[in-house]
Amino acid sequence: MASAELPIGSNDHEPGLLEGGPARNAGAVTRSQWLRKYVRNRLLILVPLAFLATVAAFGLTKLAPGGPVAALLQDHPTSAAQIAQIRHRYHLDDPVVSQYWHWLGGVLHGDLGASIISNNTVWNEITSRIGVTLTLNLGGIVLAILLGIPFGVLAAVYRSRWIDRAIVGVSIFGTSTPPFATGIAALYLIAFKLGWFPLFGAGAGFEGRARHLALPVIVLGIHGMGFVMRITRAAMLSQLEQDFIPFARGRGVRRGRVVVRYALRNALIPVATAAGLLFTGLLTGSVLVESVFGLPGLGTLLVDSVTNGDFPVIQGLVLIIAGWIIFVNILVDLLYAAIDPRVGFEAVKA
Amino acid sequence: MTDLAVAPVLPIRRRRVRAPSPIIALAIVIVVAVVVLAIFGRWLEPHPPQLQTLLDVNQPPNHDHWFGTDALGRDITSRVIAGAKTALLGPLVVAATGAILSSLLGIASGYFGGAVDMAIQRYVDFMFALPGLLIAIVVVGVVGGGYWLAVAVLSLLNFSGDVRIVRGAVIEQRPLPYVEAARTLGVPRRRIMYVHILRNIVAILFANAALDFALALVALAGLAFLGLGSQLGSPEWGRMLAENKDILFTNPAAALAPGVAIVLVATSVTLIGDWIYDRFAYSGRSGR
Repeated sequence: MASAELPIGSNDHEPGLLEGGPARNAGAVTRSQWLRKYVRNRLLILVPLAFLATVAAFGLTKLAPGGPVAALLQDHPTSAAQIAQIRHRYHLDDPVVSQYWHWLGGVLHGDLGASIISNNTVWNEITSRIGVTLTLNLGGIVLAILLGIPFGVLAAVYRSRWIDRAIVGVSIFGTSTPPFATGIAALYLIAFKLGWFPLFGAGAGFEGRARHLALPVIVLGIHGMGFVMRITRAAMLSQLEQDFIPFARGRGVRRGRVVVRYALRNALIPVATAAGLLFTGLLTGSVLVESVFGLPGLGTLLVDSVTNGDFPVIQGLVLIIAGWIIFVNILVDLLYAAIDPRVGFEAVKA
Repeated sequence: MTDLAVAPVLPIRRRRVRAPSPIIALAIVIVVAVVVLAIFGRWLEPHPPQLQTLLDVNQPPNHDHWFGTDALGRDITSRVIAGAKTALLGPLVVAATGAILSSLLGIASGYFGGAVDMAIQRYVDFMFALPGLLIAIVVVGVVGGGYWLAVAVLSLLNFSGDVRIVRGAVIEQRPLPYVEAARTLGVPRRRIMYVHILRNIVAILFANAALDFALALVALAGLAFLGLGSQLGSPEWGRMLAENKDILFTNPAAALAPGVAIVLVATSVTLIGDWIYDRFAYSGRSGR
């Protein structure tokens, strides 16, 4: 019933990406053997997924009308000879497959090419901006979890009372409010009216950075908090219905201890798996938040490169983002197997 | 399969639908109002939404311009009203596509089980991990497509969660006596799945659709905010938010009004979706 409480997404675990289920009838396997197999299967999936990601990143360029030629020339008047030169330089006259191999070869050697617009290498463009995005994302996730779990627990414990209603209301508001709208409101009210935080830019030095990124992190954190709250609440409700709760109370275990040690510990399993979704969700959110606060991160780089048709940068970013999402999902699957003692138990019994 | 025959006989209870709470009533009023604005807005706008009066730029709210004017002297109230149609149309398509695809896949997955279920669930798991809006940003930006390309991308990427919910509901419906009765009577399988069962889970489809709608509204506004999937100067809420961000400190209402419009509609629709789910989603099921 836990998942039924959650019209959004649902989270009854479901190990993510393309489950490569291990054989069930493997005779007498121990859990550790099973786990080893599970981990190996998970890691094997990496290969087709990575291949898919490179095809997607490369294929994107073929979708654009005019392709890189149009992006390079912008609106400058040109001769046929110049166009031919560009086509030659970017190997556009070769067959698509050999273009792909050529590009992939470069990628595998760590050569992502250079930005058409700035002439910097894509690698430099990305590494100089990744810090802002990582700080935003990790900060947002930590905040979302630190706020979301306690409120989710509170809502479940006080089910159907006013506390629960207020918390659920705030969470609905939080999840259906786009971070760029909250961002603008926060910019106006907190940064401009109250003057607590700086308005634009990423700041210099550690302290400047922290002051400049505080408000964007809060905006992202609040955006993610509603989601964590909903899942925690649903998971806690299903735990609190279990027989071991009144039993523990009957044995005289204190209420607080029952809630935290008995219910919350089990409820954290679905919450941990949902954290993977939080990673991808906040990644999207940070694109918007960076743009609101004028931060030089990967999100603004993505939007700029996409609007300018800066293909090498787009390809590099798609690869990085795809790699990040695959990494997080596999990590979550492994984490799930590690923290839930029931995973693999069926296989052991068989 | 075997427990079909021993399904308990349920006492017949008349389903009582309680009146919606004041907050839900307010949400319904807001949604109806925005729908009215989307349909009849053209006759309700106090000024033409594209009219640039360069003598009246960046005005704070006053009796002629309720939310002031933007940097080109266009009336914010009229532009917010003009944006209602775009704000609703795309999400409507996304929600409808989501409902159709998720019921097709979800019912098949839940009813057949086995290999079909496996295949559909693996596909859904994969789609679920994809960040829809991020992909829409890249595809719409690179292809240079407009609003409807954005709608198409979101329609195809954002229904995977619904499939899981529909599948779960179908698995609960499958062992119920009415399904067995229909089978005994020789009703074709397709009819059982897409007429009998569908009718009992239709509330869940509507609840999902409402949430998809809200997510799509926010996503499309986000795209427009980034300058993607909308025409320069078109009165879209997301785009207005971005354009008027620059005059946030001279006329905050210009940026906040479209922002509030997005938040109000998205929150209202989400609330209604949740309410539909809580009130109507239990038809035919035991318990509750």
